[in-house]
Amino acid sequence: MMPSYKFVYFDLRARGELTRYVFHAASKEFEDSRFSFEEWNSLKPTMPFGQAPVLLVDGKTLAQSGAIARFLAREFGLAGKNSWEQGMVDQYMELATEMMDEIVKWYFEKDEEKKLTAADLAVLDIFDTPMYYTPNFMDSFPKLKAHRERIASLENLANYIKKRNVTDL
Amino acid sequence: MNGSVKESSSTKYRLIYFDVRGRGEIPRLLFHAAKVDFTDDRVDSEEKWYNSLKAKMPQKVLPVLEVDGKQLSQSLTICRYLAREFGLCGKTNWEQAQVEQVVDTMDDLRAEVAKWIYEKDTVKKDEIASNLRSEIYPKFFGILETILRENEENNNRSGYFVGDHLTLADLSVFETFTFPLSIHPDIFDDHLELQEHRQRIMTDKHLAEYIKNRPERPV
Repeated sequence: MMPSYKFVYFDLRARGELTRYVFHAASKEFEDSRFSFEEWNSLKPTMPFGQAPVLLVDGKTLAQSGAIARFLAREFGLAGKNSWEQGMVDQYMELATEMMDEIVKWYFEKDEEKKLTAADLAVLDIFDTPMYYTPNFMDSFPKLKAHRERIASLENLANYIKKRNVTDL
Repeated sequence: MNGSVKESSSTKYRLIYFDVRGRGEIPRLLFHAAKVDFTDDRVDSEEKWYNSLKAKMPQKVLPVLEVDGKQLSQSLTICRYLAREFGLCGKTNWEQAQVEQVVDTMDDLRAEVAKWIYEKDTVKKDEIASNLRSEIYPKFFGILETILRENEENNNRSGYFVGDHLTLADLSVFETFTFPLSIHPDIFDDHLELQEHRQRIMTDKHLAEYIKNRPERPV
């Protein structure tokens, strides 16, 4: 008799998507229960440890996204053929989690200067030439234009832009 | 090396880590709890680490576990692997998940405490310490006590976190609170069950000697 699975998490990928992938990859049915940030406030006290995600297996609860994903992977034969293989699989999962932690930190970073990445600078850079020739080029792309203005006004960059020689390219 | 070999195993284990407790101590506790021989390779020279060892490590970090020469990275992966090998990870897949639930929860606590350790600004450091006491520790006490009580109710009455015997879960709780208790010695005062649990680990017949005599390190 197949156990009934219910996975409870925000309506985001974040720390829930790996588990959802495991269910789908194994073609196992589960209730993909998603809640909003507003609903979280009333849901939180009902969760066993006040955390999400939570997995319910025939009503028994399990918290911690890594433990959940690994449990299901083992149940569904996606965890490696023996304990050593499990270790091999596991170490890459940990590496991915480390990267996710960094992405989450970036996502929630409020300090603009800390949040800045080379991606922002690359976007600033590629539009420099079109804007030089067609200053109203970005008017029909308000979000991009706002991003450009925000990055270009960061102190270090603004000072440099003010002083540099103007060139065609 | 440390204690006698429990089973006639020819597996050669080597744990490579810095000469601190940090992310190496729970694996060390696992070896001792299981009475399995291993080489406790403590890297105490920064020069040796940066100039020769680091480049040879698969993810350029420690700890690394070597099992008959094959290398495994990631401290939690190492903990879980050894716990499975030594039968210290629960008896069923579900119990294993429950053990991992505790271990991952303790890793969350470790990350919070690490913020205090790495903060250099003394004002911010005090704020973090204050937050640990008022928000963070209570949150984790609540989770741990819930788990202990539920395990009690399931007629185990063992005083362990999962099932009726010592598992990786117990070792991770024990070790994760070692540093916090060293800076905040009173935090268990109102948490009798956690005090008793800590005592249970410290007096465990396989662990007592090691815990009493292990090298004293600040972290």
